[in-house]
Parts: sequence; structure tokens; C-alpha cells
Amino acid sequence: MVWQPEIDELNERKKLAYNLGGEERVQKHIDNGKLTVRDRIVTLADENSFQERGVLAGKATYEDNELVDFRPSNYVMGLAKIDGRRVSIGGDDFTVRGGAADGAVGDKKTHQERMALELRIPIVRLVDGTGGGGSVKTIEDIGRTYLPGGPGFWETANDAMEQVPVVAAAMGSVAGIGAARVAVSHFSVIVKGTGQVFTAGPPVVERGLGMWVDKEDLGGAEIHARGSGVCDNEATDELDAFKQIKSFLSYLPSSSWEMPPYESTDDSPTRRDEELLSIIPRERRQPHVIRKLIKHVIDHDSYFEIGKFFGRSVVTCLARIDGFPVAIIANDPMAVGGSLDTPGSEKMLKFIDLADTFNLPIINLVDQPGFMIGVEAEKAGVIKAGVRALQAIYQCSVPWATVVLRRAYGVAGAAHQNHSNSRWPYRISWPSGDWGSLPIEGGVMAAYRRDIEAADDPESYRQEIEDRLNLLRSPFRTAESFNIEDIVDPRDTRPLLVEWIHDAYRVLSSSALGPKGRGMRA
Amino acid sequence: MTDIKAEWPGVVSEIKVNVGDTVAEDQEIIILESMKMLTPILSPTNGTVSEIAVEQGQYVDEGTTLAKLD
Repeated sequence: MVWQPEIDELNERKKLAYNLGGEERVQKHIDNGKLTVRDRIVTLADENSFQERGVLAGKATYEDNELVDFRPSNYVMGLAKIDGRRVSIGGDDFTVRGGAADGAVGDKKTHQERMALELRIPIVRLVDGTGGGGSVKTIEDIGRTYLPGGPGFWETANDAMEQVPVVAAAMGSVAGIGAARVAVSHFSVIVKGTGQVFTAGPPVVERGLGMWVDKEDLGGAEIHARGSGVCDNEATDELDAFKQIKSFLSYLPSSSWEMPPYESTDDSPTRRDEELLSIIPRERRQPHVIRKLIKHVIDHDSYFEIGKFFGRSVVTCLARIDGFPVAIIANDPMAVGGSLDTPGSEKMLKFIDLADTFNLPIINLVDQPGFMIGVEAEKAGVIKAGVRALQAIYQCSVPWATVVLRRAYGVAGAAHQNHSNSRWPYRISWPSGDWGSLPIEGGVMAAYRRDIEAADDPESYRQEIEDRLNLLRSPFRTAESFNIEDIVDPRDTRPLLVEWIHDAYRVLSSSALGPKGRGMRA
Repeated sequence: MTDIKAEWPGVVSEIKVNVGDTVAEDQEIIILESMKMLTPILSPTNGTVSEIAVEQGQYVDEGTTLAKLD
């Protein structure tokens, strides 16, 4: 009992920290539909797994050496487990100085990131705070202004992006460095209605630009999960955000030095769904439902889509094949005809980098009419975004399987795998395969314009050429020359990919893992 | 009042509803041919069609209002 008084004081101080910003502010926070920061952490983490670090940090007030007041640090963090696996988790406490970074006391955020790097475990950021200075009140407190930057967050951000999974949730109005902490991540989710992300909030926008804009219109889920792509996903509420974070992490290894986690499945490795034989319409202009198609191929108890509402012509999802995690890229003919546009290219690039960073084999389901065309697409820089996606394909070294479902046209059509002689491209096509540099329908006019214009009946002559070329369009003719290595019965796709994924994991598990030289940008 | 807009350019291939029709969320409103693909434009919500703002065969830019719902 020698140290009992100190133990009592320790418990007393913890109790003060648990008061957060005081009853009134906490109540207001809850009334706004938000959980408090510790409730968020314990709700997301496995029961009793949270080991907080730095609970004693805060700003204390003493009178005659007696502690009379204590304002806890507004960043709460520590180690926890999610689905039995270790994570480094932390969140802003909005009830203390609105979660502004100057209320943090010590550099707990960087500590959390360093802890994750040292232990090689994922970083979970529950962001509900603002920038470095937080408020200009700091200037009065310290009696000077300061130059932004210096050691801290950016010191660890780059290492984290290439070494451990980084997930971030925007759970309040987050600005400045808070917004950056959401954006520089592998997976980010924004809570609809209560989460907003911006470089600066409405008062700063009003002063700088002379316009008033509501915070939701400035940086809500509609803007960032459906428009800009700053956030990958939107969540209906905080619990949904936690569910998505858990799901995302369940497909990833704890770090780039490890293999993705296998999870046993009761789905049959030899399942051959009949629907696959009719899922692609014979009429070339009719779209198919790509998400339905994907689900016929992957394990029935897996599927986590990333960025559903951004770059919609490309579908990117994590899934499992016979229990092994894979990264799936597919084209969605329901959006922009499935063409590769600027947002789609950006989404594809980040997803390939993610898969390559965390040793996830890639399956590409191709129905690609080519790059998006037209004035708006050119203004949006489609070719630049597109070549960046192509560069990612050629930089990536994880096993890659391509299934050509239907179209593969032009430069974007080539963007379905690494065609270097140094790689062995695993590629199969369905009998609906249809490819070329230019589609015959449009390409005829470009190639035979002079002949067609000189013909007595240009329209029927054009049709004649088109009919002639269409006779040569059968994918079997391509297979004769071994330009497509195999054409398969669509129903065999899952059994074939099961065989492939076992090979892919055997190869990966005997390879040197760890960060790739290319790094990873957000 | 909800505006249904073209999210990408294309040609109006088919108009699947009439003014006054009650439509459900995800119901096909217009078929837009874009990149040689007949893409259905779906209703974002339940409602009644108050206006069809385009004609069959018309080219529309990205952002063009195709129909309005009440």
C-alpha cells in the first residue's frame, strides 16, 4: 500500500480526463448525433481491447500546488484490436476547443502514427478537428505568429502510406490539417450529414471569396464522396462508418511486410453459375450489370466496394476468392458506357497502388470501350489521368489476372494488364470478346473516308466495308494467332480464378515483401 | 422537385416515361446512348414526372436537365 495515494491520484486524474470538455459541451455533441471520442473508439474496437496512451496529458491549473482544474488533451489515442488484430487508433475530441490541433498537448497524433510504424499495424484516424493553429487565439497565447510546417505529421505520413494500412473517417467539420489527415489515407469514409471536409470552413470562405456557403454544400458527403473523390465512401451514420472500416481492414494485412489474411469460406471453389453464360447481352450496345457479374465469381460472403459514387465507370472492390483476398477492377457499362474518364483513371490508379502496396493480387474484369471522348473529357485531362493509371499498371508487381468480358478498345483497352515481356500475363476471354484499336463502326469512316466519298452510293459502300470487317470480328480468329491466349466458358471463370489465386498466394508468400520503391501517394 | 440530369454527354435514344407518370426510385426514365452504349438513366427517387425536357434523338451535354420530377 506504499503507493496507494498516487494510485488514487492517478484514478482521480483519469476521471478528470474522461469528463472531456465538460458536461454541457458533451451533451451538445451528443445532441448533434455524434458519439464522444472514447465512445467512438470503444464502439469500433473489440470489447475491452483499448489501451489508451497519454490519458494524463492536458492543461492543468493549480492553486497552492493543488490541482483545481484540468482540460484534457483533445486527442485520444492508443492501441486496440479490431476483429482480433492490433491497430493504432486515435480521434479528435471535438468537445475540447472544437478538436483544434492546438488543444492537443504534446504531439499525440504523431506518436500514434510512429507507434503504428514501429509495430507495423494499421492506423485508424477518427477525425473531428481542425488545423494546426486551430484558432488564431493561439497567437495571443504564445505571443507570436509562426511559420507552418516543421516536424510532425508529414514526417510519418509518407512512411505510413507505403507501410501500414491508413484509414480515416471524417466525423465532423474537419478543416486544414484535419482535412489533410482524411485525404492522405488508403481508405476514407465521410459520415453523411455530420461529416464535412474542407481546406477552410464557411467563415474563411466568406472572408476570402466574399461568398457564404453552408458547410454541407462546401464539403459534405455529396461533394466529397460523389463529386471530388476526396473521400472514398460515405456512411449513413457513425456505426456504418465503423462497419466499413472493419470491412476494409479485414481484406488487408497489418503491414506491407505481411500477406493479406486468409478467411475460410463455405463457398465452393468449383461453383459454375449458369447465369454467367447469358449475363453479357448479344446486342453490343446493351449494358450488363457488372456488380451482379462480380458476385457470381467471388466468394459469396465477401465484397467491399471502394469509391462507388466516384469515377463510376470503374468499379473497384475488395473481395475473396476461395478465402484469399483480392483486389478487383471492373468497367461498368452503365456509367459513361464504361469508358475510362479522368475520375475513373484516378480511382484505378489509387486502387492499383493500394493492391500493390499490400500484396493483394489483382483481377481485372474488362469491358472497356476506350478513353472517354469529347470536349469535357479533354478539358478534364483524360489522357494525362489515363497514362498515370497505365503507369501504375506497369509499376505494379503483384500477380494479375485479366478476364476480357467484352470490349477492349484503344489505349485504354490496352490498360488491362502489364504486357511487358518480363511478365507472364494470365489472361482469358469470354466468347463475347470484342477488341481493336478503333471500333469498326467509327473506324471505317476514319480509315476509308476517301474511298467511301468517291463511291456512287457512299452509305451502302460504307455498310459493305463494315459488313466485311465484322465477319473478321470473331474472337476465335484472334485466338488462332495466340493474340488472346484462351477463350473460356464464362461459367468456368470462378474455378479458373480459384486455381490462379492459389498460385498467386504461393508466389507472393515466397517473395520478399515490404514497401515498394515507388512509395504511395494518396 | 428533382431534376434528372445527364451525367455524361450522349444522344437521347428512348424516353421511357410520360408527363404525369408516377415513377419509383431506380426506374428507367431515359435511355441515353453514350460511347455506343445504351445506358439507362434512373430516377433518383420516387415521384411524378412533371416535365420531359428533351426529345428523342437529341444530343445532350453533360449536366443537361433531361426530366423533372415532383
